[in-house]
This record gives sequence, structure tokens and C-alpha cells, in this order.
Amino acid sequence: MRLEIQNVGKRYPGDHWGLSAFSLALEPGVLGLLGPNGAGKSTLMRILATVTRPTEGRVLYNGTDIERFPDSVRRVLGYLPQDFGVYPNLTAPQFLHHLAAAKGLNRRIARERIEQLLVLTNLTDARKRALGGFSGGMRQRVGIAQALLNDPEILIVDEPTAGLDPEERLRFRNLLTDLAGDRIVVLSTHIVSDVEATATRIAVINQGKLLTSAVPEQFLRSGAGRSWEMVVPTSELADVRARHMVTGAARLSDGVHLRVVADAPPGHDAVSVPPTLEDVYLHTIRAHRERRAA
Amino acid sequence: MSSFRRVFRLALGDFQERSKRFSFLLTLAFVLYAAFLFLPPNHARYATLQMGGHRGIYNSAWVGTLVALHTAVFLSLAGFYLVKNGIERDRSTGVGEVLAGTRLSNRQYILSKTLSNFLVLFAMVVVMVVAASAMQLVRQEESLLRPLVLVAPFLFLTLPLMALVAAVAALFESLPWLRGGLGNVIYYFIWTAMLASSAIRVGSASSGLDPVGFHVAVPQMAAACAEAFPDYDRAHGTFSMGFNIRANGQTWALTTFTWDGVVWTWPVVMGRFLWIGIAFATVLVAGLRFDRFDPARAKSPPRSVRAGVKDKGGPIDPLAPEIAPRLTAPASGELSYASLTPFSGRKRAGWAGQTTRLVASELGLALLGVSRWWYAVAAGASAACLFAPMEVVRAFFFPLAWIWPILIWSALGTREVRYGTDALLYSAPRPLARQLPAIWLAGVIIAAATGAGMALRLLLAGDLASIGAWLVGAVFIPSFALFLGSASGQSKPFEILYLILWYVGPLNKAAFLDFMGTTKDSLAAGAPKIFGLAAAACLIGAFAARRLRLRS
Repeated sequence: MRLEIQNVGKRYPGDHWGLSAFSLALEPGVLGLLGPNGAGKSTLMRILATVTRPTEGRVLYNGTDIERFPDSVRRVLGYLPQDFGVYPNLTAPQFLHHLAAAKGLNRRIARERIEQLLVLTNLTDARKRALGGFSGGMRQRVGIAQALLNDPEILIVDEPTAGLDPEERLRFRNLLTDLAGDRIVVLSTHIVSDVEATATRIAVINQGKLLTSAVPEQFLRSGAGRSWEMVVPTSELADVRARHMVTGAARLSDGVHLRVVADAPPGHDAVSVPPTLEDVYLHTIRAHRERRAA
Repeated sequence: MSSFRRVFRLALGDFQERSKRFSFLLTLAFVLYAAFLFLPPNHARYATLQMGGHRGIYNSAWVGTLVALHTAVFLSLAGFYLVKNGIERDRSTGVGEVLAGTRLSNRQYILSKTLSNFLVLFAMVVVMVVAASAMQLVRQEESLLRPLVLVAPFLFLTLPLMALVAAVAALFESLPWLRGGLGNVIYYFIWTAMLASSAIRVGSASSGLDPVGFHVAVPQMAAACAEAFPDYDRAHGTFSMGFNIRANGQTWALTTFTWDGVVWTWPVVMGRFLWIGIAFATVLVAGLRFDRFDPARAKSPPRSVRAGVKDKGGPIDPLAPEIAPRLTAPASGELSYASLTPFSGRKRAGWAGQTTRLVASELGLALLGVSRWWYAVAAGASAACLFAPMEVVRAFFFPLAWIWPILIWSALGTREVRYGTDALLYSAPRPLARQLPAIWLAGVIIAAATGAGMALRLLLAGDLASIGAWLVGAVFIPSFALFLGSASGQSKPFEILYLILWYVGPLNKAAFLDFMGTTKDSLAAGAPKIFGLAAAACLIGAFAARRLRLRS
């Protein structure tokens, strides 16, 4: 199973490129797609889900061009868009039955899976309530359930944990880990901890371009020697923030404990520490911005 | 900031947002074209205002009054539907909830929306004034342009009505049951009633119910006509406004007279401004009824949902013996994905099974929330078609049977965009080849079911020509709805155009437009052939529109 993204670009009206010359090959596992707002993550997700057509380049699923033969992917796809709606007068089972019919699922299996997915997404208590009365998190869980209806080989989830409470977020992360074995999962998010917990590969995207793609260990190694911890008085905090990228701060009795990302020690008492995913991600984005500005 | 300034700035911001929409620019272009149509040359195939074969010379007075009256009629219908979405937009974008958390009162908010509605309509009227001035110079029957004389009818006849339309649109949006398609349908009937109430009083002594202002202008026009042509009876003479087309394609040869315009006395002006007062009163009522974007005050869910409707095939207990074994909980005590019934995209239903299931699902979706009363009226109309005298059936019950489901048909092709489920559905297999036909078939089934009484009656009578017309109608209506819905993503275009078509064709027996084939004349005029072709064109259009959306 292989999904190849070859030089894909998407131009929007006004000559704005949401994605440009993007290439990546995906194999079974969870790809954590990280990037700031407006980086092009959702554009890529929509292209992979065959909802948007690329302006240039192509995407191949097991060698088949998905733009020319979209059903080759649609048959095995589970897609949770970032923004999606529901029919407010339907209950969750009714809505899922409708989507199961649209996906062409066998009626008996669809019935069973819907009931099980309601349990899996913790929606059984709300099964008789109209979707119009659901909270954002509950709606998101309905979205997750519909994406899993056809036991997809390719699962594309765009900001799936948005609106979920910490407990539900944990459930979803566990679910993604369960799923990862023999299918391609693309998880787009700007929440680094979601990727940290689930991804078998990480890709960073900014301003429509792929900046890096690596397995988590490799990604972390690329940031070695740039993470520091130091303690500064409150009065110096603004000055340090102006000069360096501060990725964490905690006010304690002996001063402010800072986590800083910098190529050289940011202060004489700075101590080098192992990088976190967030450190490396933030450094990658900042370095790209500075290169473009230069 | 004072209340007035706050309201005005809100309205101005809203107007600026609306004026950047494509639909606004499109309507402006149409307004320009309408001005051209309203002033045909003397030997055209149609006339827009004639009095026993006479009309006024195209000077500023006649041009201004003629265009102002037509604008009032045209914009009081099209303008209403154009502006009746300001509050809805705030609701759907979430801006409304932000505004609800400010000190802005309900009355101020509704007033700002009414003002914004009015500014949109005002912009159209201004374009019409400019276009009318240009047309006077183009027609060259009187080259002297008198701006004040030309503008006055717009100011005193058109704009007060526009203020009323703006307020009524805000009122409709404030009342939950008038906010959607039902409000669109009801307004159409209000509009026809308003025109009827204005028109029948032309020539009478006075009228209080004349929002368009016919009674202000037409008697004075008739007096000038009678003075120029003594054979014209100013009390009972013919007066015809609108697009008058002569039989057999003959051209008009209207004789002209000079008219210097309406004499604007204080009582006349105050009578017209009374409509602005009524508009203000309407705003006050709307402010009282407005729910301030509080979801808790929205309509309660339909009965089926409140009661906990059973899923297709009945509810399943996930812990029932036949399913529970597959739900073996992992050590953590939670269900794991691995324990779900396997599927992996291999066990799909056959084509027929898939399509039947999808049609049934679409049908269920279309009819969800429909009340028992709706079914009772539909069944009553269908039964009446079977048993009532044929004349009454053709004149009333059959048209009723096929106007009753208008709000169900108008949702065809729009539901995915309206509720934001398009990305979910378009990423499912065969969104064009399977989903769209399923939606259409659901619409045809509704047409066939509501028209079943008539079909049975025609079958029993052996009236094959009428059965053919019935079939065409049953196919045309959902095709037309699906095309307009898919192309625009909105249900409003179908609700308006279908109502007009239904009103003019089957109800008022315009043979060419009678898509139901309710009379022998319409069959003889070839209406079934026309609408059969139209249905095919609509279907092709619907597929093209959906394909375009999928390829975006």
C-alpha cells in the first residue's frame, strides 16, 4: 500500500498558491502533518481525499492516479475534514446510516459497525438526540465515527482533536495508535503533542511547501544542541524573549525558568537539554521564515 | 456612540459586505437591463403601459413615473428575496452571537438590518434612475431632461415601498416559522395580494391599500390621456401595465400625448410617507419577536427526533448477544478498534442494493421532520383528485397537490452545501453517478406519490395524453429543483421560480407554461414537449453543476 504525492501544487484565485511542488511518499503508519495556520495542510488533505483537484502534479495510490480515478481511493477512504456539517434533525445513527448508504456499505455490516462505532466514540448515551443539539466535541466524535465506517485503508483526519476534551483526546490518540498498523493515516494538526503521541513519521509544512519529513527520532536528532534551559529574573524576561525563541516558561521562587531554542547558548548559565518535538518544529518554522525573509 | 450612529454604522458595514457579493452585482446588471425593457420604442412587440392604445410621450415625467412604478412592482418581489438573508448570514457565520453579547438592543439590531436592506434596494433604485434618464435621451421623444420631475416618482412612489419591503424582510427573518422556505412562499402570495389590492383601485376615488402608488399616478395620467383623446373614458377606460404582448406577434402603434407629471400635493406626499411609518412599526414588531441568536429559543426538533426515532431496521443494542462477542473489551475496559466488525471495503452491496438504499435514505432525509398535517393535506389533495369533479381537480386540487411539496423539492441538491456535509459525501465513491440520481429519484417519488390520485384518475379515464403530461410534470419538477439547487447551492431560486411558474401556468392557465398539462389548451400548445425537453436540460445542467463543484 503506497500513496505517492508527486510535485503537487494548488493555486487559488488571486494567484495564491496554497500548496506548491509538494512531494512525499506515504506507506502504512501515521503521518503527523505539522504546520501553522494557513500552511496548506487542509489543502493537501482535501487533495488526498479527492475533494479538491490539484492545479499541478499528481497523487498515485498503488500506482493509480487518484485525480483520473478518484473512486480508487474513495472506496477505501475515511475522511474527517476540518470543517464539516451535520444534518441537525437527524440522530447520530441516522446520520451514519445515511453516510453508509452514500459509501455503498453492505446494510447488515453497516448496522453493526455503526452501533460499535457509537460505543467506540462514546456516543451511545446520545444516540437518540438530534445532532443539532450536540456540542462541538460530540459532533467531532460523530465525524470520527463516520470516517471509520468503511474500515478505511487510508484515513485522513484534519485537526481531529479540535473541540475534544482531554479525556476524549486521549481516547482518540489511542484509537489512532490502534489503527496505525496496516493502513495509511494522515493526521493534520498544529497540536504537537498529538503528533508526538501517535506519529510514526513527521512532516512539517509551511507556506505551501514541505520543509522536512522524517521519522520522529530523526526529526528530534535534527534539533540536537539547540535546546537550552536557563533561569532569569522577571525583569530580564522581555529582553530574552526579544533575542531568542522561548518555547516554555515557568515562574518559580528563584526566577523564571525558561526553555529556549537557539544555535548558541542564550546566556552564560544556560544548560543544554534534549530537544522536544515542539522545539524542533518551532525552530524549523522560524528558520524557514527567516530564509524567506532574507 | 449614540444609538443612531451605532445603528447607521452597523447598517453601512453590512451594506458594504453585501455590495461586494456577486449576486448584488448581478442584480444591478439586471436592473440596468430592466430599465431598457421598461421603455420600449413605439413600434415594439410589447408595451409596458398603455391606455386604450395611447401612452405618454417619453418626457421626464412619463419616463420617471413609468419606470418608478415598474421598479416598485419588480423590486418589491425580487428585492425582498435578495435582501432576506442579512440576519441569516449573521446566524450562520456566528457573527450574530458576538453581536448578541454586546449592548446592542434587539430593536437597534433589527433597525440596522432593515436600514442595510433598504440601502441595497436604494442602490438598485439609484441605478434605475440613472438608467431611466439615459433611456429618455436614447428614445429622443423629448430631449429636455428635467431631473427633479424624473426623480420625484422614485422618491415618493418607489422608495417608501422599498422601506416597507426592507422592514418586512427583517420581520420574516425574525420569526422562526417565516425564516425559511415557508416565508418565501407566503411572501409571494402577499405580494400578489398587494398587487391585486393596488390594481383594482385604479380609477376609484381613493385607496388606503396602495403600497405601489398606482392610485397616485394613474388617475392623473388617465386625465391627461382623456384631455388629449376625448374618446378615452378616464373612469372606465382600459389601462394596462406590464409586458403587454399582442396576439400573432403584431407590433404596437400607440398614439402619444404629453403629460407633465404627478402634482405632488402635501396630502399625497404624506400618504406615501405613511408607508415608511408602517415600515418602522414593522421593525418594532420584529424587534419584539427576535430571538437574539439564542439557540434555546429556536424551533424545537421535530417530533420524530424528540421521541427518539428508531433507526432504519430498528435500534440495535450494542451489547446484544449477536454483537457483544465482537465487542470484547480490551484489558483497559474500553472498546478497541480491532474488535469491531471487519469491513475493509470488500463487502459492499451490489449496484441495485446500493442505489435502492441510497434512494431510500435520501427519501427519508427529504421527509424527515415533516409533520402529520403535511401528510394529511397531501393525502387529502391526492384523494380529492380522484373523486372531485374533474373541472375542480384541474383548477384547484391537482395544482395544490404539486405545490404542497415545494419546500421538500427546494432542498434537492442544496442540502449538502447548506449543512456542510459536502466534503463527507463528495469523498464517498461515485458522488456523481450514484448520489445525484438518488437525490433526483427521491424527488420523482415524492412527485409521483403526491400526484398519484390524479394519475389514477387519468388512467381510469384512459386519457393517455394527460397521463403523458402528468409524467412529464412528475419528472420536470424534481429536475428543475435539482438543477437550481445544484447550480446555486440555495433553495430560494427554486422556491421563487417554481411558485411563479406554478402561479402563471397551471393556476392561471397560461398554456405554454402549464407544466402539469391541466387543460386541453396546454396539451395542444405542446407544453408537455416543452417541459419534457426542459426536464432533460435541467438534468444535464444539474449533473454539470455538480461535476463543476466536484472538480473545483
